[in-house]
Amino acid sequence: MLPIDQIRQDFPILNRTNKSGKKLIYLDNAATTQKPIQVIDAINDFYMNHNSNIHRGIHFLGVEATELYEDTRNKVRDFIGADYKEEIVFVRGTTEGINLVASSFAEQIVSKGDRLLITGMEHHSNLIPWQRLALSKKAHLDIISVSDFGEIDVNEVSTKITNQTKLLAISHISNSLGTINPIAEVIKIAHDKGIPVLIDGAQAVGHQPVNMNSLNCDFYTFSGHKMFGPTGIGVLYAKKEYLSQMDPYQFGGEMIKTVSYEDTSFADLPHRFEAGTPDIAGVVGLGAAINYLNSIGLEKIRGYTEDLAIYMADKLCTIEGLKIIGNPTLRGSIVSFVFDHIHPHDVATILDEEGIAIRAGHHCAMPLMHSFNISGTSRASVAFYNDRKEIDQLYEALLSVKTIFA
Amino acid sequence: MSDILKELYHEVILKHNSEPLNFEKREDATFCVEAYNPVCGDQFNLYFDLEEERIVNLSFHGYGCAISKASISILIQLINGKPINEVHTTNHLVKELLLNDGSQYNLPKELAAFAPVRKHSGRIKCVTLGWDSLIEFLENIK
Repeated sequence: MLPIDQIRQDFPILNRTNKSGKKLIYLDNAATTQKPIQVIDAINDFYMNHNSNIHRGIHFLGVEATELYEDTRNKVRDFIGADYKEEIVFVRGTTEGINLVASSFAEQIVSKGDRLLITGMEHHSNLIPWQRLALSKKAHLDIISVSDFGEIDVNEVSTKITNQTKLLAISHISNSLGTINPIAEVIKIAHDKGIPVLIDGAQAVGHQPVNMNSLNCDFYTFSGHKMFGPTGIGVLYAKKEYLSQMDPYQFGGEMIKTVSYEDTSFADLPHRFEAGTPDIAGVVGLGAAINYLNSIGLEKIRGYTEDLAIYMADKLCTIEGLKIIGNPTLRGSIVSFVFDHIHPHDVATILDEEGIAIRAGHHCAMPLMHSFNISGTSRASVAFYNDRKEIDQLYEALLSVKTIFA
Repeated sequence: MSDILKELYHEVILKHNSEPLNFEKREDATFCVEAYNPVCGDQFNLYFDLEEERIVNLSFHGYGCAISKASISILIQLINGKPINEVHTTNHLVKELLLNDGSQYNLPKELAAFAPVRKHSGRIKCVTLGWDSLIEFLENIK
């Protein structure tokens, strides 16, 4: 059990009220998580006391800022159980991480007639980069189907991998259904056939332990803002053996060794993938988020939020006319649902009046919504600062939604 | 239910949502206009014919929230059978209502029902979806 009352005090925004004076019940954690004061203070402290550019300043501020930045790289490496700090590339977020791999890795290895493999539950950010690449290379994008339970069948992963398949990309946890995918098994199947795997870890990191060493995936990418850190910063983990062969993603300062008018040699890993001045304060904030999560413990966080998400799913499905979309065996912190004749946006507006923040819409997964024959869902997603009382209030508010549209 | 919600989900809107006017697909319509909001996925088709610059046989079909659906149903009630220039006039009233307060106009009570949406900026597009799509289409076929 977690000391929720104490934890909640670390999140100043949880004291907010809406226009009607109702206290915030924040259940939109899959969109972005709230930030503890420790993260806010770290960013503040950086700008107040250490602000400088990195990797170049001889002055003491430059040294301090560089240390803070590179120390966080080590912290990220340890947090996700990677072997080398050179395998940790700072990016803007999961979307940029995936685009980087599509541009700098897949672009090189995919030719006409080749195939890329993803699942039917991917966020648009793990679909469109592959779709565009397939179109430009005259390659094919294969889709692993999603069952009515919101799950994939690992046997289908095996059968969909052909001799032409060059890469498999899959989300660790579905942002729209909450399904935890069997990625360890999927990675093993793909590796047995010599296929590299990219994992979209946006919904997983910070919510459960994640270990690159035991997963043995080739690429794993996630966003700081979905793990209680700042927006605008994220991480791409890539195995050194791939990273060392990849072209730079962008060109400019910070990523070079020597430059002449004729040619350029690029910096060592991972700096050659970090062109331009990065979001240094964002990296510092990300480091503070990791410290914060470590102080609570990811095993405890996962245990608590899993229990809370199951409590929520069990409670909501007792509401007549409400249908939960996806009923996976292993659920993350997310529950998506629809009412028979009530649009998700109307649900969200009515809950908002009660101070309850949820997400309504297609969750950047339009093809998945179509496969369930819906245009969108209402999605409630929990974090370790939520509790059962809040879920009970969500339940009551959903009953009032039904009354309004009775 | 709070007063704010009672205002927003006015009985006129709830009635048009549950019993929308002319809610049917028409394969034989001369024109079919798509009203689509990619942000939320609301998607309707408006079907109509033109007779001597009048919009006639106006119907719609599709999927969207209570406010967008009721808004198109009320659009039909107000402009079906009317000359095109009246569509523009009424659309202007809708915009005045949502962006300013529109109280200086003598609004039909169906339109006045949308006045509280002004306080919910995220839902204004729901009201204007059908109107904007129809106006854009009419501009293009001039």
